[in-house]
Amino acid sequence: MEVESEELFESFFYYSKSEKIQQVILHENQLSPLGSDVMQLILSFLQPIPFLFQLKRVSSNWNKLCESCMKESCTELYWDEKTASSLLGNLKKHAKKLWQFPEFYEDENLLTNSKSESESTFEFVKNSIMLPFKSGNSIEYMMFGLFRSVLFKFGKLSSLILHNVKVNAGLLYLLFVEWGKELERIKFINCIVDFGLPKQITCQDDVNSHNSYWLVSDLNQIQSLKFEIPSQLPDLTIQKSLLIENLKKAKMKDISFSNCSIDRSLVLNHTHASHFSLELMCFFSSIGSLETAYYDCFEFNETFDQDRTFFKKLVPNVKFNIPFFLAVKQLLDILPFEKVVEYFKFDMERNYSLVKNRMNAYQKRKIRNKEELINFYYEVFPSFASFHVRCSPFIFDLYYKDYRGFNMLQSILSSIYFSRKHQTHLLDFIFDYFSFYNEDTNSVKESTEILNELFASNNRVDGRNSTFIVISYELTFMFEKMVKHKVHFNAKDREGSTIAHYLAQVGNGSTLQKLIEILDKLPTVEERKYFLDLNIPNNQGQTAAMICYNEKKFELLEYLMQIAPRYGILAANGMPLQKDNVSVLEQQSCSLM
Amino acid sequence: MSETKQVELTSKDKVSFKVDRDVILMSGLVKDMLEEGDEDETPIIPIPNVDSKPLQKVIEYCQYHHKEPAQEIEKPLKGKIEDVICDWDKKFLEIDQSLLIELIMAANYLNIKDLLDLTCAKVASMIKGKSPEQIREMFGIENDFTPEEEAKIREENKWCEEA
Repeated sequence: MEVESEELFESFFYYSKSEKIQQVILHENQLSPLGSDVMQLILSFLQPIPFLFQLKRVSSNWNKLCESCMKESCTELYWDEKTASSLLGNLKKHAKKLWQFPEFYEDENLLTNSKSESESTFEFVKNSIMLPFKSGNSIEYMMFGLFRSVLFKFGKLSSLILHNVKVNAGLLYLLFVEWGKELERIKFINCIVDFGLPKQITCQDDVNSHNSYWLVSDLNQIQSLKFEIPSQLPDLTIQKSLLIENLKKAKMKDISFSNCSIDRSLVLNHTHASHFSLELMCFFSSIGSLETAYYDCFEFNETFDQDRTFFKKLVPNVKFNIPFFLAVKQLLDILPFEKVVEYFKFDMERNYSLVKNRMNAYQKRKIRNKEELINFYYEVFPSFASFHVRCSPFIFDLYYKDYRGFNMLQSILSSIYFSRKHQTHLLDFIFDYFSFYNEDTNSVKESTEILNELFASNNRVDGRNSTFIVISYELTFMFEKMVKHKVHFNAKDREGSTIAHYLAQVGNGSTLQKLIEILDKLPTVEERKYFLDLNIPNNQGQTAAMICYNEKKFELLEYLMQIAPRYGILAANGMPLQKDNVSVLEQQSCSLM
Repeated sequence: MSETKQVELTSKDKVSFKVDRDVILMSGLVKDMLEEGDEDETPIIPIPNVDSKPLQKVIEYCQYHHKEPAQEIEKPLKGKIEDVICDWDKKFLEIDQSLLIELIMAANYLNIKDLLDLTCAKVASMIKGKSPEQIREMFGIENDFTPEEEAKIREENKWCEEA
């Protein structure tokens, strides 16, 4: 592959200069520092290129994100450092404007020359992030600063979700000392845990305490441990004791670690899981008000039971929620099905924000016995859980949208396209989850209405909706599913166009034909029109046929004329669209100009 | 009338350039800085992101174009870039690849729109006619997303692959 791409680059840039042909090799690493704004500008000089031309929005998204997430009532913060760092250039620009990017996190040079006014705090954070194991880098450092500036916009937080961050003493100091506001629930997803704090540990056979648990060979012998600040840090007594004190006083009730791990480079001969557990225990034991905790480590089967015993012994005030999806089979062996199903529903509500009534309705139809429950966890749950973590961390809701304005359906459909993998189970789950409850009650919107709303919601990226994704990515397997659930194809985008306009614009007759094949099975023109109304005008007053005419997509226009009687496609004179009155399209187009 | 005010720019590699204030006001960044700062006789403005070589080219460009405003380059490009720019610009662009890239970054950083347009249009004209696949390969992007967005998309869609 390497060779291929190298060859590609070599053949890439031949251009004429002073009548001599000079070969210029433009290497990827030369272009990469340019950043997306510049690439966007470069590409703007070219004709639109399919799948390459929608580069306009990285920075505008950020503005909108700020506007929408910074409402006063907002008490939930989701921070994904990977996403944020990939947009760093733009974020910095806007963060500066909106929130005044904190200076001492901004300048990489400050890592070596600190001269901040609040020098000791700065020193503490800097050392906590950067020094203990030399694991930090300047990007992480700047992201930390950006996160800090975001965090300070919140008066209190009921829920904080940190995704892909390093959980270290610097972060704790920020949360519990610098910011120090009320924080009820914190969830870490895909994080590297590295407090860099050697713990004072007392062992059974050794009344002398150890400075570090690296030296403890048998975890069972551990009697107690204490959260401490490492000696590697410079002597910043006030900061250290403030952190310990504030953790004790913190009002945090619930904490969870999903798919997190300890920095593997720090683990020498000891098992990863044990150290991870100990690291967490130290942390949990330091928080005075903690009531519930959750963690799922991937070595669950080997160590989880053992870990839980430790946890109970060392942090008796904390109730640990088990990773239900890992324990379901064991539970089915020892408990009656009804009891396990109750746990299942509780787990789905608590950890995945599903609504009780909807879950009840779903369970009544889809999880009626052991096999179906196990089946759910094998087939539906893995993709659902991953989706939840990445795309809808707060709530699984019709109206939830991410920063791009993608609702859950758009996220799933676009990921299907990018991963080339059909998430049939997940899509079925969503369709069922939103439909079943409505079959039980008339007090909420009809399921068709809800599903149509899901499909019609326009995003902020290109102002289009899920129907467009289905059509433009040619996810033809969705056609029948949509028709079955009475989801129509007439949803308009921001410009007032439907998929019919889009298909006319790009002259994509084959996708239209595939859709028509399915709709043709419907008995009446009215029913077909419910799903696909080809007479809808866009904001410029153009119908799909007019666009075909203007764009000279005559093959497609021909096809539209062919299906016109079955779909009630009209020309502006009210007559069915046919060869005789094609000229009307021209007149119509002219009158619009 | 007082004599022309000057500004001293210091490049990343610590080379100083004295430039007429009017000339370098083409840079949005410098303009902002001068507005914010005191009215020194010859203010020294560090340009820590730009090396002396591209900075010299930038100054050369500003010296010419602050009197001869650049013509807007039509989008999309119809033909070669050389067909739509003036002779001076043509000569100005006879530089090697790495300097061109550095110049783009400098123009972007210093916020000189016309220079950025010119240099980006130059790269665009070199890309012109390539297939989307080749361009994607070149910019490291997939489908219609920026590299940043692609990274995000990939990250977001991991769940789909993992499941």
